[in-house]
Amino acid sequence: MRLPLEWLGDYVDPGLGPQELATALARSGTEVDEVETRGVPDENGNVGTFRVGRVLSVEPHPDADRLRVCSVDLGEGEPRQIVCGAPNVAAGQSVGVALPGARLPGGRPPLEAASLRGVQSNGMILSEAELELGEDTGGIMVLGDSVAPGTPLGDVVPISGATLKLELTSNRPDCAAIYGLAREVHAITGAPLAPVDDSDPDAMGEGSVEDYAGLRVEAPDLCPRYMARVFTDVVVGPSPDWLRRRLEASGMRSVSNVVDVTNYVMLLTGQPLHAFDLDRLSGPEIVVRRAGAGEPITTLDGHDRALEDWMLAICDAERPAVIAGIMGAEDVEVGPATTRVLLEAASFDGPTTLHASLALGLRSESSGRFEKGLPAELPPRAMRIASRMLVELCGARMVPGTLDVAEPIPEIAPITLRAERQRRLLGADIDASESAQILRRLGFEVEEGEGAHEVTPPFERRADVTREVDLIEEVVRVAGLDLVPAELPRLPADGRRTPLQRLRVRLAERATGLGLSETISYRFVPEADSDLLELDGDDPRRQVVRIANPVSEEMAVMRRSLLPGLLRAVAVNQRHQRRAGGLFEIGKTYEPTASGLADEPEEIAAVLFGAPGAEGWRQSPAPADVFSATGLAMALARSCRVSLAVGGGGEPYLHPVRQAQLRAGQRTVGIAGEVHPSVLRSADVDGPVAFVSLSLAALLEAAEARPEFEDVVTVPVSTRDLAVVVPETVSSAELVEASRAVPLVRAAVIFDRYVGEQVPDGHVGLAIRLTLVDPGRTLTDEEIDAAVDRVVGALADRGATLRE
Amino acid sequence: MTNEHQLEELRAAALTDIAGAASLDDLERARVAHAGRKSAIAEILSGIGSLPKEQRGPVGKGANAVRAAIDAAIEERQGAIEAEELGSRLATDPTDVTLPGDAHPLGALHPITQVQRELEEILLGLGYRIADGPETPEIEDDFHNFDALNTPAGHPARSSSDTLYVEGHPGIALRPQTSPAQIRVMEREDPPVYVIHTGAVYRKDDVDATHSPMFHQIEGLAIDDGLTLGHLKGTLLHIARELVGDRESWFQAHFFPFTEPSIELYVEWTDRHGRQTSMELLGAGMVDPNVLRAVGYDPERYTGFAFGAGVDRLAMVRFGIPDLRLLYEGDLRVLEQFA
Repeated sequence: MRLPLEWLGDYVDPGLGPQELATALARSGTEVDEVETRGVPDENGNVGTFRVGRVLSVEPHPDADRLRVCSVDLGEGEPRQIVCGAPNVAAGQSVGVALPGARLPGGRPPLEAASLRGVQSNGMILSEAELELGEDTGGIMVLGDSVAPGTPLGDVVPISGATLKLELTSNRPDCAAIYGLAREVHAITGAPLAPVDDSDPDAMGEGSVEDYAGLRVEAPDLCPRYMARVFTDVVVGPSPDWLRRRLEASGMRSVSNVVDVTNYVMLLTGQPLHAFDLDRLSGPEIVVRRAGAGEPITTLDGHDRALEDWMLAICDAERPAVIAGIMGAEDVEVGPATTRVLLEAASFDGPTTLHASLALGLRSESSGRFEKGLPAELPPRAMRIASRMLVELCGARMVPGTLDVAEPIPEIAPITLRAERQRRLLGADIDASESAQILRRLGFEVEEGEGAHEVTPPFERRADVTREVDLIEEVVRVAGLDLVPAELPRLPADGRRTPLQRLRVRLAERATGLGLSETISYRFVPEADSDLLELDGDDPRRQVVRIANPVSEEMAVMRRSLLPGLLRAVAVNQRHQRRAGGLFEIGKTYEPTASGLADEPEEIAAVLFGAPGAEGWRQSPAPADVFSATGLAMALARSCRVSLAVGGGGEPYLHPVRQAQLRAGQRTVGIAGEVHPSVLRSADVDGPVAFVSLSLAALLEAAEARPEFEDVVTVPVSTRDLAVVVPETVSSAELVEASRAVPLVRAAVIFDRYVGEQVPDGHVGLAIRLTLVDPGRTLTDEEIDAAVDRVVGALADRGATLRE
Repeated sequence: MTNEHQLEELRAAALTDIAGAASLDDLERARVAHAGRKSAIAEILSGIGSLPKEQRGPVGKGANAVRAAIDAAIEERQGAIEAEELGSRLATDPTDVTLPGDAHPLGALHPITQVQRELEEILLGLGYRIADGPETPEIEDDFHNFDALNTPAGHPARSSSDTLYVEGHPGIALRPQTSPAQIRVMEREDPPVYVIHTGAVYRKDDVDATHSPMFHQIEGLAIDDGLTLGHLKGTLLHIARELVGDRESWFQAHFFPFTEPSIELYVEWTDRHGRQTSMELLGAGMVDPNVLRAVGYDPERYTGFAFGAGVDRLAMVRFGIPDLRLLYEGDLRVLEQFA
């Protein structure tokens, strides 16, 4: 909504500059996006340096053909000598004059008295263009004769203007109106509010409205009120300058006097109006009905549109003439030849208007107002104001009578405002009589009582203000939020993260500490992600939450895996010539349920691509592989004291062999491995990429509550290294498990692995370090040797032979 | 005849040579000369047995003292020479210390997470708890998304041009704001409630520099006996101070369907181009009685407030990130700046 302050000034003058007014409005709840200024700068008395002058005489300049030397009366006693270059200046004209010191629009330096080709000039006679009032018409602006010389020019023409661009909240359709904003300014500043002249003009037309048109409302549920009047002898033409300027300042285009009047009254009152060319309507009756499915209309903007059966249309005998509240049909619009006008003022259902305008992709100043819900009391006022303007500006004669079909309008019930409740909600004392005064300024009726007021909202606010708390809001926003003393409440408990929240923090810290950066992916993904992951046809992860109205096909379903999003991030980085790196994400996936809601398990997932890790002049990291993945998984899990065991995995999107299921005890916690080359190809990513995913819920269940101290300080620990050769088919995890099963062996770690000349084909050499300990005592050499022998035996059972 | 004078001379000569030794080799030569097996002092000591009995004591004592002094001087000089040699050896090390140090991979938390954490820390410090996980689903029903939040059917926010709905389940939608979490918490708990929630929300917006169909919000809720708008103001000012330091700030009245009265906190801000501007930091309000009623709280007895902010926007302002899309691409050139 644009608020030209010049127009506002018709009703209220708070004596504030544009910026101050903007601040006052913003603080009280009417957000101001921008303060636009136009014309003469309105500061430091500059506007006062522009005056009306009467040209007394015009003489040729002795030294310049195109300049004239004028004597101008500015009501100062002595006339001023002013040099003027305009061809149309003439004695007897009233003109606008800028005095020395004046600052003109456009940021030019102040005007100075100067000598022009040897003749002194003590001011400047102004054109419309110089004042930013209009186009350059090739000469000075000539004013009416009745203005006394010396009158401030701003009193005669709007030489300075500011327009506030407002961002209205959805609860205040009453502020989509100049007069509604005037009331608001009145309320917050206390400046007096002038009434709008909404008296009817004399009805000088012939006959009565029923002679010209009938009215039938078939859908009163969508149209609680419809009013129409008829005007004859209308002369369609251009609007007067002041009307044109106000519309333009309000962001609307001037069309013709009749259309401009409807728009002007809409801007003033908030009630949209529509003018029909009565002679272009078929049949004698206006019918307000639901449209037929597919019923066509060609709207004013030249588009052919098909209506739907729930939309409301204003029709003549044959066809829709207006999509109610949104836009009229091209062929019934008022045009230059129009002489008889039917003027509509109506109330339409807000949601229906909104949905129709969305469905048609057609928004207008009118629909924007109707969709928020306008009161049924408003049309008569708008109708009266517009009627007078049609009579006064368009030469129209108003036909006596008004067609008016209205549902009963419910009375507005008074609301009790308890002073105690107000104090208790605000934590501030605002005097009861001040509350009453504020509410009255906002147009509410207030019956003051002991400890409570009975308050009746004006009809403009009937939808917005229905409860005591709404009144309290009105009071405090107008009284000023600064009146409420700020105080920090005392809370009954200490804030603490839950185990799940601490887990998330720890995992993220560990992951960043390991050199991975966190990414956030869109959680809606292309449906084709299931195919990207090469999931089987019956894989349950093909069941997804599908979005009915997605933003795009790339955002069609909710993700079931974090991998595709991470791969897309890898692709982004590779496109930027980034060859290696690590990314992780902590977030939900979405498993649909029968109810339509979803299970939303959370996981941490990470990718390592290229040869991630530190690269330097004496460092070169190894390419990511399954061991990068399992190692990363272990490190992440350790951050919440979970030790993971690995086993073979069966994920279709990972390398068939180089993947490992991650377990804690019997619980499956996640998966780690190399992303399948064909998945990488589909994702347009260069390998290698290693992937890890861990379930937060599973980690949390597996996490040791508190690690117990193990005495490795006072008890001596013995280590023994074994070198063995085993067939490739024996997994190292098996050997470790077998070693650890031997009493006294606390740990068995594989610290080297080799293949090659010294090892037979199909075999690998492994080096295993055993740690032996018996808590509470020192082991003897004999005990250690016996235990190692048992380990060797256990390994031999699995095909391992000791190397010399 | 060995007398005191002779011993003193031996000692002085030895100490002079030792002090003058410039290298370990010099020092070794001095040691051989003055404390070696053939040195004068060694001879005196070995000749003690042949002295008359009454001279053995005084001479032995004197000679041993000289011998000890020489040994001590050698040891001290040796330490000094070794330190000097080490020093000069190290000083000529050819290493260029300006070569890069060993690289350690530095990962970064996402800027959104960083701001989220910071806000969480501030509110944990005030005594709020964090609601999240399964108790705050992102796919929500109409009741939690809208009805209970005083956003009735027909409200524009509920239209399919604003909110993303789940196919086949009318009324189930991706939550357009974090506020349904408030309802979830209040359904489960009785007052007093002091809780915050942060997370992703979804709107049907096209992606551009300032819009994203997925973004993040933080939400706070306090319901108790006797909470006022003044308490809300105090809480918001505290958050602002912790988050952006002492800055000029002010409140503006506003409108949200689920709070009444509703307010916004603005702070003065200098943008990335050095321009003086203002920033909307937090939106808030007193919880609407309709919301309290929807979860079975008695609005005559309990009052409370809710507040929230867009985390993405705060992150953009805080870090001077010019384009929202940069937050969702996983571009390490962007992310690693925040390590």
